Order: sequence, then structure tokens, then C-alpha cells
Amino acid sequence: MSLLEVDKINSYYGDSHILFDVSMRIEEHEVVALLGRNGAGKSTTMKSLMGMVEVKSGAIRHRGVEIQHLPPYGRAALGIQLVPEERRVFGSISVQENLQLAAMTAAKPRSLDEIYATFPRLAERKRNRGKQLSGGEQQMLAIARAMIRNADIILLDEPFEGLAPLIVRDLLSVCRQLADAGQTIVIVEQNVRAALSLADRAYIVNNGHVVYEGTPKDLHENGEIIERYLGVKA
Amino acid sequence: MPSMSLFLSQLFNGLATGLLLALISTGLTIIYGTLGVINFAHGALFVVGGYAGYTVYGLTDSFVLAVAGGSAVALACGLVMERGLMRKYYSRPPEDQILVTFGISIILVEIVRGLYGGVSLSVTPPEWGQGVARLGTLIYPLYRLETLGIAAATLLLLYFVLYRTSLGLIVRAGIEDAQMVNALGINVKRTFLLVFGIGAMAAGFAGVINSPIVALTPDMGFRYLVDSFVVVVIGGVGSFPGAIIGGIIAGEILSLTSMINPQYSDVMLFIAMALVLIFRPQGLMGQEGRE
Amino acid sequence: MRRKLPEMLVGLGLLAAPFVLPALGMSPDLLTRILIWGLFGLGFDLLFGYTGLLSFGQAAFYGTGGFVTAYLLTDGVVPNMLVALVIGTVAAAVMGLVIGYLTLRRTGIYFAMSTLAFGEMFYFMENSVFKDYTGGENGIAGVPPPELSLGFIDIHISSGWPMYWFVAVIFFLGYLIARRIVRSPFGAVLKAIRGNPKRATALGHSIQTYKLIVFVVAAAYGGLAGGLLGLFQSYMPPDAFALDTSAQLVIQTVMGGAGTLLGPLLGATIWLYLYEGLQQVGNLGPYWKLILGVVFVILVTVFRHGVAGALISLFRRRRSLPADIDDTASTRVAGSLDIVPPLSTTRPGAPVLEARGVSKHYGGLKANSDIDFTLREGELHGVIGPNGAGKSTFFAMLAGELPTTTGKVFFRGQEITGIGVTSVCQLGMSKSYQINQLFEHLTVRQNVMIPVLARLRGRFRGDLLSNLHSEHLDSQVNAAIALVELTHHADTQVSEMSYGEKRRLEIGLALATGANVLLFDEPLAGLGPEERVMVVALLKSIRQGRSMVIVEHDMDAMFELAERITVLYEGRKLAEGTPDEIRRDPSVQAAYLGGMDDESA
Repeated sequence: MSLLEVDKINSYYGDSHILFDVSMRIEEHEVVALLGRNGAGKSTTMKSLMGMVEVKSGAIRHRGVEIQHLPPYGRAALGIQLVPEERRVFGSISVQENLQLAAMTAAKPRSLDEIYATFPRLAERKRNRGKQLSGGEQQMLAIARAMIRNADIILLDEPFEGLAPLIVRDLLSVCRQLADAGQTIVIVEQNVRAALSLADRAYIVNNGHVVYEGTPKDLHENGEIIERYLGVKA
Repeated sequence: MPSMSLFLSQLFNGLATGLLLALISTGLTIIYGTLGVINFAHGALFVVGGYAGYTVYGLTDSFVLAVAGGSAVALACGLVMERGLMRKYYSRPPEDQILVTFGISIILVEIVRGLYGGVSLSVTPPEWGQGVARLGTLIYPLYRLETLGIAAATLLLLYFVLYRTSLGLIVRAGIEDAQMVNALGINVKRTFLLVFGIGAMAAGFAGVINSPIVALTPDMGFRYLVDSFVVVVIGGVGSFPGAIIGGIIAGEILSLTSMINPQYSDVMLFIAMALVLIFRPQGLMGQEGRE
Repeated sequence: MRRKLPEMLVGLGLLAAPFVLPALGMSPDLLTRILIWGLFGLGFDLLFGYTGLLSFGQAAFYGTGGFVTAYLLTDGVVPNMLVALVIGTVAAAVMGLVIGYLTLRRTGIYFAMSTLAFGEMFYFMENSVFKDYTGGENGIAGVPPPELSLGFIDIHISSGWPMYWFVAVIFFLGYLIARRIVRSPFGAVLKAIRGNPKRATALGHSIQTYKLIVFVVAAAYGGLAGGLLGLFQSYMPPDAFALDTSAQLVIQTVMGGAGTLLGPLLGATIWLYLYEGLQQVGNLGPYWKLILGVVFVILVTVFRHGVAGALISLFRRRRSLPADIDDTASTRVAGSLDIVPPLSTTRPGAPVLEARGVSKHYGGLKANSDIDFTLREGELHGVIGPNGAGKSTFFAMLAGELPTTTGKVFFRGQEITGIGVTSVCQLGMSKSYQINQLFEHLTVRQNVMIPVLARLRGRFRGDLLSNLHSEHLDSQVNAAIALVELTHHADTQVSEMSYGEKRRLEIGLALATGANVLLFDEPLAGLGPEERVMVVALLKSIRQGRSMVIVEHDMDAMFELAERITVLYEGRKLAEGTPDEIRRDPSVQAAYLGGMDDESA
């Protein structure tokens, strides 16, 4: 039984049909990458997993139990945690308060010290309010919020977007540490190289459909698949 | 030229009125900031609290119990309102919310009128509030001074709750991004119910505190509702500091202009609001574009 | 004939009332009072029911009109009753202009709150600043009974039935005017403002002006009603200015049904009848307002559109009419959709839309840096880029919506940087949105009318009394609807259509503006595979005479459609060329596939 199983879900924004019969599975301790151009439906898949987008048919199962009717806080309670693409750190409260808020309902939260050890930059800025942080720092904080909750599954939605290469490198190494320690991660990224360097398996989403499933090795051997669905070749 | 002691006395009055308004407006603005609901029944909750306090005072002779009782009744009304009716309205347009809370205010006021009649009821201040205080050359009613202190203390308590407790943290984050708070594992709806209750309780509390100063009538709530709207427009919707600053400004405008001509003081307040609308529509501390 | 049915029914009703209603215990005084509230409500319904502006301060105008009229008559300044009424109405309208200007700067809740506050301000001023004129708490007593001097005969209107007839005539006239307004082009724009003000603005209408005018009209109706109140009672009461009065108006309108013009009349009947009726029922007398409050809350919760609204939807369901159909529209005329001719002469290949060195910085964040972009006459130009490339920001600047930090945008040589969507639309460029921005409560035909009206009438025209439909309007509307293949859905309410149909309407609205330059923001968003094919075909079919820019992620569609493609990456222009050139460009592939930095292990 997979940790998380997505069974032919159809997701909508209002009456706009975004995901068409999307199915995938996530096993414990793996890193799964969701690839595709933007507009393909990757973020919608993540938000569907977290309960922030309406799933009109199909099922999502967590350790065999259906959860598609649970509100977001219910899924967070099960250990699923989304780090959204817009980051959405709370701008009006401090870094420390952001972390405290995240830790509030966690069953076995990590300690603040542990978080600050992983992200020394955040320790320096702990009293600064969210809106005073740079893009990279906000991304760190967003990931830190999921980490402090000790989530079973972390859903990373475009974590490296819009960040300077050095920061991407730092964040990538944090992700690698987490993955090596056994953290289950689902990552959506347009930076295909970075995503594949972390992933055990990858799905490709195009126009709301899953069009490919395979390992990074499979994808390197079949380069034209990447070009077809991710690149600019039609 | 008004005398110094008159001026000081009016300054104090303004501060007392202002902090009371701030208390009422804080409830209104926080409810709007978190729930996006503008509660037209807020004035009615003020009245309900005042009258409930009057009854408790009559039964127990303890002003403290009266304050507790009035606040509790207002809290209960707020919770019932939210649970019973308001939650159906979160997805409806703001005009509908205004209309239904307005309807509820009529119901509440008429119930009060039915139970207590339309004649004004006066409340005697508690023993510790009777008499006058002497501040230098100024002679000032003791109870009014005490309301100033009580209001200030309550606002401080609210500040403490908002900025130093977990609940307050949830509220402040929730004002900004309720969905994200939800995603971090917190059932915001339950929190917001509490927020609505606290806002209602603040109004009821203010109603009891105010009753020894201004006699109780069933229709008095609308006056305070309108004034607290003006405070929220001046201070900025959704802002706790805005409600305080707006309240003090409003109180002082009312008080100081009444020295010159009492009939014009209300009008001056509305002129201040008009100026804010023209030159800084989002209010002194409000966020740009926040409708 | 059918279109005059409501007017005829109302006229008949007014004629019949004195013979029928007294049997139900309604006195002439009660009926007169109901009519005065109904008149007050006609204006308020235009403001709230049709335009969606909830004002809690209408008493300010009721009182102004009433007191000015009463003062002029009692003081003998103006002996002619009709002249005094007119002056009172005009005074109220002027106040409406001032208050409207101040309060319409915000919308929704702020608007409601500030109208309430200003209403109260008038109440206080009545009792203080203007006490000498208004009598303060006492009001103005001794208003002379109305008298009409028609040259050869003087008519004295005494109380009772003569007063009823006098007020009924004025109400009927007011109703006729209100009906004309509702069925005028002006009225159509009001409905659009209520449904989706942002889109109404983008389709070329200057909505603030429309709002202000309807606010003034509502104030005028209020002032006239107030003047009549003073004549009716021979006394002008100070509580005409009270919050209670504004509140009663709102409650009556909502109970009766907003957006029907007769809702306030119905609501006033319910209110006043309930009041008088309950007085008879033993102990319930003093509790009438409580019962009213309960009824009101129930109606708002359950019957959102009031009693009249509930009746109308029942009637419609019986006749299986889906929506408020425009039966005056001519469905048969058709032609081709006009395209706004360019202001200056142009030739194929000439630059039509140009961005020169355009940047947008938000504090430290550089959303767009130094982008040059040219759309040529007749071209279909695509814009692509990975997430965070700054496409939406750039698009908004191209459309004249967003001011640039540096750089300028030119439309056929005229600078349009940040001039705003309404002006841009009037110049001949329109945008279709990624998320549907439609008027959900209107039909397809009514939706498409909005942009056509803006093109035919400019950003504002005060044509409150004109006819909505003309051959030209209808043929243009039909042409636009046909172009997006929604002809058989023309009279369907938008909220009942499928997503794909709505998406076509979204494109149709942009087309109907007559724009010769069209911007499409992800036109294929949310569409299934078959629908994508349809929309791509649609976009190809409308190219004649138009230049287009499309932002899309669907690469298949993009390569099929575009002649030229610009690639944005990290806020800058990365590459530009024909689809083939872009396909072969290694930097473009790198941008999409892995970022320009080669940092991963």
C-alpha cells in the first residue's frame, strides 16, 4: 500500500476543469518529481493533495484511507504539508512567529534550534517580519515551516523559482539532506535538472493529463520526451 | 477663550469617549479583518450588554458582576449569531451580510425594548466610582476617570491577547491569509467563531461600562455604531492600532469641538471622516485597496 | 405592446386601488403613504437593485427635498407648489452630487458605512446648523395644502382621495421614467456595473460617472418623495432625516424585491399594512417591529430577491423562461462585426503595439527589465516563458493597465503607458482574461451588448431615456455572438453555461469591443482537448483585420497559431523569432529545461 495514492482525480477551479483523471502514487521515503510546463496542472495537483482545490471525482488515499473530503487542516494533521508556490509566508508577523504558528498543531514538532541550525540565515532574521525578507529567505522560511511540523510528506511547489543560483544550490542541499534522512517529498519544479537530481521517480503532466511515469534514468535515455513535454518543441 | 480647567476636562472626556469608542471599534475592525464581515449588529450588542448588566446589577448590587453578566450575554448573542446565521453568509456578497446583521440588530433592539420598555434607564455608578477626583485645579467625575482606566486596561489586555498569545497569533496570521493558516493545521473557522465572540463581548462590555455615564435607551446602539464606523474609516479597516488611534481622534474631536459649539460637534466628526475619504481613503493605518 | 405591460398594469393598479383596496381596510392616507415610499424606492432601487450600490443614507435627500419644499411654501418664498417641489428635488439632487462624489470613492462596505455616516450628519445638521430653517426638533408645521393653478382653474388638493390621486399621478410619472432608464443603454451599463464592475470598466465604460449619475437620480427621487411627504402631512417631520428612514427604505426594498422597481412599493405595503394590522391583534401591537425584523431576516436568508423576486421566478418557471430575456432585441438582423478603424493610416507590417525599454520594479523586485516588443499590423504574436518570467506583469503593461517603472508603450504611435483600461479600449485594443470575467447574471446577448454599447457611445453617455435597441446595435451584437458560435445560447443566462461556452464568450466580449488589436491571456486555460481545438480554430478565423498577442503554455497551440514568438525569462526578453527559430534556440531550451545556471550536481 502506497503512502499516498491518487486515483483518477478531476480537479476544478470554479467550473474550469484542470485535472483530467490524474493518477499517481507516492511511496514512503521516496522523492517524486512532477514535471511539465506551467499551466500543465502540476500546482493544481499539489493543491488537490492538500485540499485547497476542489476534487470533483476520484479519490486520494493516505495509507489506504480516503482523504479527499478532508479540509486542509485535516490533511496537515495526517502529516501532509504543502510549501506553496507563492511561498505565502505571513508578512505581518516575524520569522519566529511564523515558525511558532506552524508548530502549534504538529504532533511531534522539531525544535526551533534544529530549524535555526539548518537555516542560519533565518536565525539571524528571526525577529524580522515576513515581508522584510528577501525571496530566498522567504523560501527558506516556507520550507522551514514544513520541516518544523515534522511532516510525513512534504509537497514542494516550485521551491527554486525566481531564486539566485547560489541560493538554489543551498536549498537543494537542504532538500538532499532531508531526502537522505528518509523524508518523503513530492517536488514540482520547472528546473528539470534540479528536480531530477533529487528524484527517485518522475511524472510528467501535460494539459491536465499524466503523460509519462518513469525514473530519471529513463528520462535521460529518452531525451525527446523531455523536449516534447517540457521544452519548446511541439 | 475657554478656561484651562475646562479645556483639560474636555481633553479627558475626549480621551474617555475615545477609548470607549476604540474598544467598540476594535471588535468591529477585527471581525472584519478576519471574517470579512461588517457587523451592523455591533451597536445592538452594545445595548444588549448594557441592559443585561443593568439587570444583573439590580439583582446582585455588584457592578463587577454586572459587567461580567453583560459581557457574557453579549458574548452568547455573538456566538449564536455566528453559529446560527452568519456562517451561511460567508460566501454571499458583502451587501447581504450587511443586510442580515442589520436585520438581527433590529430583532435584538426590539427584544430589549419589549423586555425593558422604551423609557431611559439610569444606572448609578458603583460606590468606588461615586464622587469626584481632584487633579490639580481640575475637578473631574471619578467614575469617568475610572472608565478611562478600565477602557485603557481592557485595550491593553486585548493588545496582549493579540500580540502575545497563540490565539492572537492565529488571528493576526488569519487576517492576512486564512487559507494558509488552515493549511498549517489550524481550524481557522473555530478560531474565527471565537473572534466573533470576543468582538461581541467587547461591545457588550463597553455597553455596561458606559451605562452609568449615559442612560440606557434601546435605540442608543445605532449612535455608537455610526461613530464606530467613522472610527474605522478614519483608522483603517482591519487595523487594531488604527481603531485605537481613530477612536482617540474621534473622541477628542467630539469633545473639544463641543467646547466651541456642542451642536456642531457631531457634524465635525463627519467632516473629519469626509476629509479622510478624500485624502486617504484607506484610513490612517489601513492597507491600500483593502475593500 | 408586451413591453409596455408593466406600465399598463401599474397604471391600472393605481386606478383600481381606490375601489378595491378599501375593502381590505386600507385608507386613502395609507395608500398615499405607500406611494410616497414607493416613489422614494424607485430611485433607491435604481441605485441598489440595478447598480448594486447599497446606501444607508438616502434619508439625507428625502429630508433635504422635503424641508426645502416645505420651507419655500410655508415662508411664502415660492407660492407655486410645483415650482417648490422642483426646487426641493433639485436641491436634493445637488446634495446627491456632493455626497455621491465623496462616498463613491470606495465600494462595498466602505460605501455603505460612509453613506450611513453622512446620512446621520444631515440629521445632526438639521437640528443644529440649519435649525432656523428647519425648526429643529419641531420640524416645519403648517405646510399649505397643495394647489395647482392651471391658468383658467385652480385645483385645491384636499386630503383623502384627492391627495391620493395627486401623489399617484406623480408616482406613475416617476415609474415611467424609471422604466425608461432601466431599458435604456444607460440602464444596461448599470446592470453590468452590478455584475462585474472591473470588466465593465475594461470594456470601455467610465463606471464612476455612471455611478455618480445614478446616485444623483436616486437623490432626486428621494427629494421629490420628501417634498410630497410635507404636502401630504401638512407637516415636515425631522425624522425624515433619521437613520430609521434610510433603514426603512432599505428593508422595504429588500423585502419587496430589489431590482424590480416595484419592490419598494410592495415592501412598503407589507411594512405599513403589517404595522397597522398588528396594532389590531391584541398584545402583538408593540412587537410589530420585532416581527418585521424576523420576517426581514428570513426573507434575506431564504428569498434573496424578496417577495417580488420570488413571484417573478415562479412566473418564469411556469412559462419555462430561463432569464430576463430581452424581448425587444431583434434576433434576425445580422451583418459582420465592425472593427474600429485605426486612427491613423496603416500598412501591413507597420508597428501597431510597441513596448520600448519597459521595466517594472516593485521595491527591490524586478518583475520586468528593459523589454522591447513590437506587434505588427495583421500579425499573430505569441509570448511564452517559464513560471516567474514576468509574463502577466508585462501583459498588463502592454494593455495599458499597469504603469511602467521605466519605458513606454505605444499604440499606433500614441503613447498609452498606464492610461488605464477604459481609454485603451476606446482606442481600439481589448484584452481577454485568463479567468473568465463575465456578467454571470445576464444572458449572452446582454453580456455582448456591453462592449458594443461602449463602442457606439463612448466611455459615457447620459442617455437615460433613450431606447436601448437599434438595428445597428442588434446587428453588431448578433454578429459578435455568431463569431464565437453562441447563437443558439444567445438568451441563456451565463451562469448556466458550460465552462467551454463561457470561455468562448470571454473571447467574444473582447471581440465585440471592435478592437483591432486583441490581447489573449491564456485563452486555452482550463479547456479539455476537443475544446482546445475549437478555440484554436476560432482564433485563426478572427485574424482578418486584427492584430493579436497571445500568452499561452500550450506549445502545440502556440506553434500552430503564432507567426512570431517572444520568449520571456526572469523578467527579460530572452529570444524572439519565428516558431522554428525559437525551437532551435538552445538558450530557450535551457531556460525551459533547467534554468540558465548549471548549479545542480
